[in-house]
Amino acid sequence: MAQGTYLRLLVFFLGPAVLIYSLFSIYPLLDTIFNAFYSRQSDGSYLWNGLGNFQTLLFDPTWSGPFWNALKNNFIFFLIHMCVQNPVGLVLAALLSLKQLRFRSTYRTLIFMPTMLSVVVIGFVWQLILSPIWGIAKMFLQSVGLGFLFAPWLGLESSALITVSLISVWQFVGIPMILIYTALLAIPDELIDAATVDGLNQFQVFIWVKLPLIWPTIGLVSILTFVNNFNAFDLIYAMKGALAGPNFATDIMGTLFYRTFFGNQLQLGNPSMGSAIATMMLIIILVGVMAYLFLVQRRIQRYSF
Amino acid sequence: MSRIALRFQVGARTLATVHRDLVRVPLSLDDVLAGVAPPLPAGASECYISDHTDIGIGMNAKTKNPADAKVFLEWIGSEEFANILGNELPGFFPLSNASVTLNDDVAQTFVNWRKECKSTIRNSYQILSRGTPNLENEMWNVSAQVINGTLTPDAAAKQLQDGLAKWYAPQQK
Repeated sequence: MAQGTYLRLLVFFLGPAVLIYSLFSIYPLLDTIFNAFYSRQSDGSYLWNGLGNFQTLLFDPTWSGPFWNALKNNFIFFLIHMCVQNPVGLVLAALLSLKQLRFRSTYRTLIFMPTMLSVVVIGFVWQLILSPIWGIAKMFLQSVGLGFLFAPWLGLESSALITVSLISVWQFVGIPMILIYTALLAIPDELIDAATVDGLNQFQVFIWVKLPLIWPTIGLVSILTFVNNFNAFDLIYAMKGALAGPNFATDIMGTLFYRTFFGNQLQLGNPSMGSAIATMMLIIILVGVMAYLFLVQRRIQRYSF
Repeated sequence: MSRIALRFQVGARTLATVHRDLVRVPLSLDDVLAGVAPPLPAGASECYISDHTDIGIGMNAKTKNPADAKVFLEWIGSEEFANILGNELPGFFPLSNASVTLNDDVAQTFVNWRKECKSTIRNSYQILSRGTPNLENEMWNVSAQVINGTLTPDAAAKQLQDGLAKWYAPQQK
């Protein structure tokens, strides 16, 4: 192929994607980072501030308190997803892929259903369920004699974050389930048959044959969970509002960013400080993804059939 | 009427405010009709009603019709308008000094409290929410904690005061 034709084809095929991606993804990203180095003056103009915003965010107690609190909460939010959502998703996928299972597609649809619902609906429904005034959680526990176990979980500083995390787990457990289920289906029957002939029972087949083959998918699910959790905002906003109460117990990076950038109630928005928080979120996610790519992804063994 | 149902006050200082949708005020309709006012904090003798003095209406200096605007503004400030507002927009109470007669008994009881109680501002509005930490956000936060019992009203007031002192010059010692 002549060089000219090659270049023309390159522009023709790559051009539109590069253009759209640059315009709507790369430019806003760079602009956000750029904004973080300015500070807004009281007359509305912006002045170069160097790393001032980051210094304020990390070292001025007025800002660093909420920042570290949000970061800590975000890690707890993520850990709960990793320790509950992904293992449960794995178990559900393993159960769904059992040959003897009846009503397979019914279970699959039902478990995946919450993922398709709007976050606002999820938040509202769970608030009604958990309400200490009229919630059915309390009535249900009382009807089986376990009423003493009930607490206003969403309203206590000690339990609000765990409750919100578990609601998010409940909503999104369908994603790891469906991804891992698909990976399990892709495993050739010959391998399973061979392992069975060699005398492995179903549980051993899962541990020694299927699990090693789906590690890449589990890795993918983990990194998706990480990125989504550190970008999370909507469920907390829907259930606890932008102030992420009680006493910021459910405040994560997304809600902190929202309050700072857009403002809240009477709080005025501060675009440059908000950009600094967004940049910190980008750095955290970048570090996490890089660590995964270099430390984990490379060691995962892949098999091709 | 304000979104706020309950205020914790010491003297003229509002310690915390509570949102209407957060609490059920321990005051029934019968209580109101019988003239029972919200309870005062222990030891306090003066009651306060929070007024929205931070909202106003005025005339644009560059208006082409200053005479007409003045007529309108005078009418807005009149006893006639105060009565119309109070009666036609139930739940809103005129701040006018004119004597207002409301058709609704409950609303009239509310208005009567104005005769006994002093007026106070919405302190977090306007100026006091222009800095960091933001007074309104802080009030939302500490009121929930006071109701939860995880923070005493005194500690809540201290947190608000300390927050203001971080950026609001008149409150810095």
